[in-house]
Amino acid sequence: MRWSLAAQLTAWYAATAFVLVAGTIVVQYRTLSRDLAGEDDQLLLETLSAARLNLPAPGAAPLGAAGTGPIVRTLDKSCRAVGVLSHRVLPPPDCSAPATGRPRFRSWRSPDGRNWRVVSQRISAAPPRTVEVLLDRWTDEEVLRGYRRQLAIVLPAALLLSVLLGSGIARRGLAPLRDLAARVRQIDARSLDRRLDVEGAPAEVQALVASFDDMLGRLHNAFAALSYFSADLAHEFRTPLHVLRQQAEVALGRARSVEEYREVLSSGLEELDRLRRMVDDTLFLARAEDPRASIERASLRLADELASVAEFMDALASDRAVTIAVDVPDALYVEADRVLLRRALVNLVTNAIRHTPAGGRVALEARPDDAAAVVRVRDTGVGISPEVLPRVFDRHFRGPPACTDRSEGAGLGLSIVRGVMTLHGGTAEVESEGGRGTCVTLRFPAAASGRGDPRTNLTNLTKL
Amino acid sequence: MKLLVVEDEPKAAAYLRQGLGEAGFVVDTAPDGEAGLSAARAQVYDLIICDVMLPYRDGFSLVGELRRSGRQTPVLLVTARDEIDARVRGLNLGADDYITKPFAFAELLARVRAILRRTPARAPDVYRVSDLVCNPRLRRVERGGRRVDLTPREFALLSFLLERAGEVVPRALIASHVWGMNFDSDTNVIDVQVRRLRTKIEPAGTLPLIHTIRGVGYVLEDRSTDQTADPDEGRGDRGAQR
Repeated sequence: MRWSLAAQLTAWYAATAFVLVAGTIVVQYRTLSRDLAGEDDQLLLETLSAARLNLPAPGAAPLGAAGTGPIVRTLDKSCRAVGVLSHRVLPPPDCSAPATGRPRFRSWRSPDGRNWRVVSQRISAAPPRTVEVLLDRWTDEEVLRGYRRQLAIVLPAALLLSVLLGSGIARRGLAPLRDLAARVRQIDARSLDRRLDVEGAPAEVQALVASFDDMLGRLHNAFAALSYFSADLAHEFRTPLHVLRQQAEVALGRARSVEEYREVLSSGLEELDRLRRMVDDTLFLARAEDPRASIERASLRLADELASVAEFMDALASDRAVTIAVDVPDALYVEADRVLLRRALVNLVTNAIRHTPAGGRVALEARPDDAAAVVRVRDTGVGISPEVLPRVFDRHFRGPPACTDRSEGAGLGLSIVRGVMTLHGGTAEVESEGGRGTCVTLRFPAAASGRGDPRTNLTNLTKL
Repeated sequence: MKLLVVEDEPKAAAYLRQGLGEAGFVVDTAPDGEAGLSAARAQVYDLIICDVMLPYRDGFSLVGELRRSGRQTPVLLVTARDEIDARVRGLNLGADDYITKPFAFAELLARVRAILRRTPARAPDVYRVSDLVCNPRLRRVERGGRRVDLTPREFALLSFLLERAGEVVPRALIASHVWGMNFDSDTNVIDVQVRRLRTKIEPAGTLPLIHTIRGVGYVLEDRSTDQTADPDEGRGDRGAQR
């Protein structure tokens, strides 16, 4: 398991504080013990120079043996000395001090655990002797031991304190995050309009808060779109269902002629067909938004595709006295799904014809583009007013009532166009000038920007 | 022709049986996959129409098992639209065709006939319905002895209807076979195209041959001796009403 941020911060803080405290203490301890040793050596030297005025006889009882202070003894040539003095084991004699008369220091640890410091000096008088000053360092060590005993209490206390302080600091430092988490927790599907407060957040988390607020905004829009969509969908379904119900109920109200029944059933079939197509289109759109959906791409010659669509739609156009023109370079290819491409184009041309008055013109154009290709469907129709222009690709959006008739289906035509382009990884854009016509631009990306799982075959959905 | 319908929804099964029966087929039904499989093994059918979602044994398994036991009876799988891979899977297992619910009955009928027709009856040299004569090889059409000039697409549309004379042809099937538009759209192009063809092959005073089946599609047939006249006749088609 990962450590929590607070635990990590606490650990780091405590470790740092403890190392600092412990380091300081170690340095102090060593300074103290060095100072004590220096003082001892100084005392020994002073005692030595004082003792030379009044040396005890070689082999005689050492001087100062009673107290805790330095002990002076003189060693003769045979280097013998008293080994034990008032139950204290004295360091063994050592006559190896240099003949130059320089004092020689040494340390010795007695079998009973006492540390001795000894200074010895050769005295060149006749007969030559060695003077030794011995100091039992018990008292100094007692001081150091006391110091260490205190440390045994102080150091754990320092550790504990730094842990406590560290966790306090971490907790305090992370409080804005906890606060943020609490506020995020309160946001649910019904309060997506709520925002975290960027201004109130610390500088470090401001970027995070801002991104989160952005995400909330997107979610809010998506949610709103979804709920409008459900409402629209329910409404769209309700109309044909209502017609069907009324028809059947009224028809069954009394006995009727065969022709009347036939009329009711035929009309019902038409409504059912509308419903079926709405279900199909809605499913298609749902799939188009599924990022795992993929399509069957082939290299398509746009000249062929545009010509086929123009030929297919030509009867409808000339019925409305609208001409269809195709303008496409011969050797322009696009990696696309043929069924979907044609479906998008038919939808666009159908729309264009519907909104173009007699004598108008619908142009199908294709041009090479940086990435791959751009296909445009341009008309000289009534145009789309700027207020509704951003919404034309929305599901169930319909143009102004004047040009709405029931044959238009469920208003999913342009959504399907956008769905098709989404599946191709491309885009669909619309521009319009009121009264001067509309132009829809389909942008296909460079080839092979395929999406997802090739087993998912979306073209099946478009087949009956 | 004897068909087996494997469908667990009783209402759907009953209507399929009635519809196919009225189209001239002998129909047996089975309510689940196991019953369907044993029926398919016990008897010889010309075609099995099989739902994918079935109790006890699903349509895929039925097709697979049938093929393993060496039966080559053609199978038309029917499924709801959710099963995306179903088409590929079904065809891999040896199904002959695939149709998604909800389908137009005429569409089903067209598919059934297409499968049964696969052992091809050679296209006749000349189609003749009432006094309409069409020679596909010469691309020549005459009505009442008078030559009718058709554009290539109009000719393709007429041929398509003539090949299926007497059968109801759904709009989507026309769009797909004549124009290569394999999708269902809101556009009424097909109605406009059929109306244009009509004005050419049914000049004033001649017997109407192409009949609109509202909510479904078109049928080309001679109804002069038929008692049940098409009530739509004389009212124009969908496109004309709008």
